[in-house]
Amino acid sequence: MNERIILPIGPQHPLLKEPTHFKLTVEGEKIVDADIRLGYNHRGIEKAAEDRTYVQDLYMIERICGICSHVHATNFVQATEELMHVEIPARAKYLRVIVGELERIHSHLLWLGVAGHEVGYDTLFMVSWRDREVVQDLLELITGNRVNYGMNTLGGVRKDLTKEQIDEVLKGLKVLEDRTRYYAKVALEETTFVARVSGVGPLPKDVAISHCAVGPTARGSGVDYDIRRDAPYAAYNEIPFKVITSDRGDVLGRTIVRVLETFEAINIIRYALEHLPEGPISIKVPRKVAAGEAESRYEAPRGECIHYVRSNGTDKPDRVKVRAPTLANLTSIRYTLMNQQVADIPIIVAAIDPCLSCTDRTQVILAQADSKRSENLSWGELRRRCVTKKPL
Amino acid sequence: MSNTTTPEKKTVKKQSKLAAKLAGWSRIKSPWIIHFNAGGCNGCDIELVAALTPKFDVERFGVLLKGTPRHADILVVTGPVNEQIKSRLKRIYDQMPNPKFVIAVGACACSGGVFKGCYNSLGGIDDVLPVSAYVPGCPPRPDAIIQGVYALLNKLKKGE
Amino acid sequence: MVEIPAQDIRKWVSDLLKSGKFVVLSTITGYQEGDKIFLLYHFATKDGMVDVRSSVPLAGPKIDSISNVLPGAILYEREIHDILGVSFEGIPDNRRLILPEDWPDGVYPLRKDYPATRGEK
Repeated sequence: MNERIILPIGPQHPLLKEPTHFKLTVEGEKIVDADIRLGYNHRGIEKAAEDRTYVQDLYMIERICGICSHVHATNFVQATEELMHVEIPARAKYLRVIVGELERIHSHLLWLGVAGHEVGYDTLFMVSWRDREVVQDLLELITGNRVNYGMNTLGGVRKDLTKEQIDEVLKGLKVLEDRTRYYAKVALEETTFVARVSGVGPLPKDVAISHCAVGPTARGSGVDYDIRRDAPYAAYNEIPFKVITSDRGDVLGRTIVRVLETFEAINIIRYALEHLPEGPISIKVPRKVAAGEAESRYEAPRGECIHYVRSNGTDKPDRVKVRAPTLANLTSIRYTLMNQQVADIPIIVAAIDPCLSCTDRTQVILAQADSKRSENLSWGELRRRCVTKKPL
Repeated sequence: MSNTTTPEKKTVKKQSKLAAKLAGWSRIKSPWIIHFNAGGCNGCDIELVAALTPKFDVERFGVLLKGTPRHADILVVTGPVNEQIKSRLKRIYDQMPNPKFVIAVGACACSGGVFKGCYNSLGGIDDVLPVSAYVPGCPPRPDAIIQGVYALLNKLKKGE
Repeated sequence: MVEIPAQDIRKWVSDLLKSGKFVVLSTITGYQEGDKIFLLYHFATKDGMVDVRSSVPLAGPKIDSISNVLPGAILYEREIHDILGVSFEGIPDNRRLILPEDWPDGVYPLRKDYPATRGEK
């Protein structure tokens, strides 16, 4: 007869992350089942969007998430521009791509630091976030803010790039490329890191597809799907780049995908800067939007983000629907946690790169058969035990 | 039984006064903070965590980010509070030892920000906790957050 | 865009999955128009999006769940159940997804009769 231990992990915990509540019940060291519950970050944005004009909605929707704000802003604006039947200038498309890829780099470096912290590798966290500041400075140079850039407007973008800014960005990219090469080496060859992520949290390709996983979570299991190549938006149909996949299917596979995608992002930005077309950066659009419906998809750092907008001829939308990538990946978390060790919970959950403000709070309840002993652990305590691999 | 304070009692009184002064001094010189995200977009939280990283490095000022409210002097809250998280926020606050202070970081924690009016958002954390300092911004830079913490400490220093 | 009646949705999705083509459900959108609730299933394939629309009456919104043929649909169905009040027959898990624990039963915020902006206190 095996003992069942219940570990509730409260919504407050040391480093980063949104209010997350985990309630784990485990059999010895093994997780036998898992449950998902959301709710803490739910603000009521989709409903409030119906009471605000499209321009007001743009600024609210941008703040759905502070890590991928450009994703939501661009996606919403693309859907609205389709409803208005307008074609934005080519230069605006390239500028959207440049800011979008810079955002991807900052998001992947952020993730690398968080992943390092989850396996107890705090140096990686400090060093990758130090280098992430290079990207933040570039974004501040181009758009005026480190987060929530406000780059988009209905009909194009709001800020242009001067020659000096372009030179600064190219210089910054060179620094980033050298540093990322170092991270690739650490993440892929450093034995202690690899040992913590190799073989952990397996997700077979067919399960990834049936559970509708997206982004690096799916591409790390060999699913060859990337919106930028398969349904290109903005200027991606004119920019050559590689889609990175890995057949490993474990957390290491997802790490490889994200690190190599950072290199690709650097190349995409370079190409876009070198081929930046001349011309205006925005066009005038009507205030009232003709009745209709449109959807727009964007390859966010975490996967596919889809926005759907219905208009009714006024200056306010009738319905705005946002499905952020983490919600699509949450169903697969349960599968990847099955039969895994408790010590690996933080890194497995972190491997989908959860952005719960995009999605909502998660309450993971791992349930199993019969027992009575229970233990309360904070997330910090769980992480500490994972680092020392102390048995429960 | 004498009504005046005995020499022993005088010493004890002096010692506890000294201890209180010492505690106050160390609180100002090295405030330990705990961070709680009350349902925000993460922007403020990332900027807060970025304040720990080498470029801004709050640790050199003695500011430590603790994992448990029982070790913390200052509660840093981000995000517009919603109904669900209100009770958890209060519970965290109650677990902190006195004296304790609350800093609202970001436009959402100050007044609801861009989400004011959404059906599941309240208008900032004022309605839930007594706030000692507000740091506006969307999100405020790590430098601004550090300045906010220090403005609070200066206020405390003057108050003592 | 494909319009199909609500009772055929599970068979349609099964047939799509049996075809062997690469298909991923991006999301399910629910919206109310007049006295009907429309459900829009967004399927992503290598040849582009395939959107399927179905409708159920507002007075008795019920439709078959597709979660047993496509496990990835479960969270989207639970969300629509939570905020619009649509019942998904045969859904393996029917709990609240995003609304708070003490949200009143029978109140569906994404229906048109619910105010979009919270009043000032």
